[in-house]
Formats: sequence, C-alpha cells, structure tokens
Amino acid sequence: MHEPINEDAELVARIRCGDLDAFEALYHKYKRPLYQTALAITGDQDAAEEILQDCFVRAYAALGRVDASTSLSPWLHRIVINLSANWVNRNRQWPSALDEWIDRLIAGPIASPEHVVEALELRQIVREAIATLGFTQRATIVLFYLQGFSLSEIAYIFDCPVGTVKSRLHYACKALRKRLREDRRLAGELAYGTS
Amino acid sequence: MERLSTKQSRSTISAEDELGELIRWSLEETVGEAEPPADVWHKILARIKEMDAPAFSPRRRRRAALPLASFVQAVVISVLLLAFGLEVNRNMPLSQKAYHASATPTIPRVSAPVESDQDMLRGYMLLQKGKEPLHHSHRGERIVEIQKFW
Repeated sequence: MHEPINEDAELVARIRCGDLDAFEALYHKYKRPLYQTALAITGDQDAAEEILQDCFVRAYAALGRVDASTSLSPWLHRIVINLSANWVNRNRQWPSALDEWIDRLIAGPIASPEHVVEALELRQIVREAIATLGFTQRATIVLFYLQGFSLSEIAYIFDCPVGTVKSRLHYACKALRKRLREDRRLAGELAYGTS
Repeated sequence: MERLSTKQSRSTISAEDELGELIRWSLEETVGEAEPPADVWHKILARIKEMDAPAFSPRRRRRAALPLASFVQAVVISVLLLAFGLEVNRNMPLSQKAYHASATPTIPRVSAPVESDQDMLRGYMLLQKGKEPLHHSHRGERIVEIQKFW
C-alpha cells in the first residue's frame, strides 16, 4: 500500500475547493481495493456495492477533517471496515454469492479439468475456513493478506493497538490452520503447521 | 540441539508462510478480479449532489459556530433575567419609595420608666430570694425529715 501520497493531498485540496472531477479521480483510484475488501468480508456483491457507495458519500462529507498529508487508503478502508461490520451485524451469515465469482474465475483458461477441480476445491476449503472466523479476525486476514496493509495501518483502521492486531492475526491463522488440518478433503495433501 | 530448534523454527516459519500464501492466493483468486459496476460512480455523484455542500474548512466552521453559541447563551441569559425582573415587579406593585416606606418595619420607641431607689431595692431583694437554696428539696434533709416523723 504505497501510493504517491502527494497525489492524494493534491486531490483532497482540489475536492475541498469543490472540484468534483478530483473526487471522481479519487474514486477511480481506490474503488477496486475498497470494493474487493468489502466483497471479501461480506461475500455479497450487492452489499459490497452499497458499502462502496456509502464509503465515498461519507468520505466526501468528512474530507474537511481528514489529514491529507498521509495516504487516504487506510482512512477509506477504515470507513469500509465500519460499514462492513454494520452489514455483518445486520446479516449474520456468510452468503454463497462468492460461488458465482469462483465459477466465473474457473471458467477462464486453466490447464486441465483436474487442476480446475483441485483449485476450486482448495479455494473453497480455504474460503469456508475464513468464513468461520469472527468479523474482526476475518477483516484482519483480508486487510493483511489481500490488501497488504502493515500491522500499524491495520491498527489505525481498527483503532486499536498494534499488539491487538498481531494477536488477532496469530489467532486467526491458528484457527485456520486447525480447520484446514481437520478438513478431511485435504487429508494427506496439506499439513500446515503440523509440526 | 540448537540446530534442531533452528530447524523447527524454520519449518514453523515456512508453514506460516505456506498458510499465508494459501490465504493470499485464495482471496486473490476469489475477489482479485472483482470490479464494482460502472454505474456506482453516478449513484455516488447523485447522492453527493443531493447533500448540502459540506463545510470543508473545519477552522472556518468553528469560527462561525463560536459566536452563534455565545449569542444563544446571551439570549437565554437575557430572557431569564427579564423574566426574573418581571416577576419581581409583579410582586412589587408599589413604587420603590412607597415600598420601602411601607415595608420597613418600624419599632416605636418606648421610653424607659424612671427607676426609683425603692424599685431598685425591691428588685435586689427579689433577686436574692431567687438565689436562696430550697432546703426541703435536698434529698438528705428530706430523709432526715422522714426519720424525724417516724
């Protein structure tokens, strides 16, 4: 997550002067990672779209208060995480809308049908294991592994100490390892941290 | 022994790395290609245009908010003072001078009677009488009186 910071500061300065083109540029810069984070946490395309919309509307309203000297990515992710948490609280479930995405991706040019089946199964197993985690652990996993945020950035996003993030990540990995080890479909194939 | 522990920690790290790689791969493969629909920006734009123009400068907003707060405080205080004043006036229908004239309690001066030497003497005697002990009220004497009786 190393974006040119000056670009964000410039965009924010322009937006504060009422330049909506600058706000559009900001939207296009961050729409993908924010949408993917929301999708990875909620597993629902409609929810991710709604969260993305709400995120930018809230961001626009709060741009007067933001510190534009640093990258806006953690700040925008903070909004997305809060909105995702609200959505997860409202819909305490893990919808299977992600299966659509998996099907779409699998439909791409991949070597052999056996590989396709293996990849699909493995991905599904990992996804199911991630889905069993609580919201904070799941979101931490998504921010760390998918978006590549540092521990301090994740601490800022969650508004908690770095030690808490480390601990969440540790326990999330431990839980995932346990579930993957227990999964019979992976028996004999993977042994993550079995030593 | 040391070599063994190093080996173990290395295997743990590699296991962690493998797990991390698996998680990363799984997430990227699942949502890595996902893009928001094209019309999202137009929806955001429409919602922003519906909103009032946000006050982007917090300093300017604070400056504008401060006099308003003090103005409201001043208005509230003056209303309270006015109400209090009206209430006082209602309870005080007389003019200030008349009020003071009628409301101040006046104690009529009574001239002290001229004391004669006789009166003084009489008073002294009465005082002395009052100071004399009542013998029959003492418990010991009362017992003696009872014994005498029997």
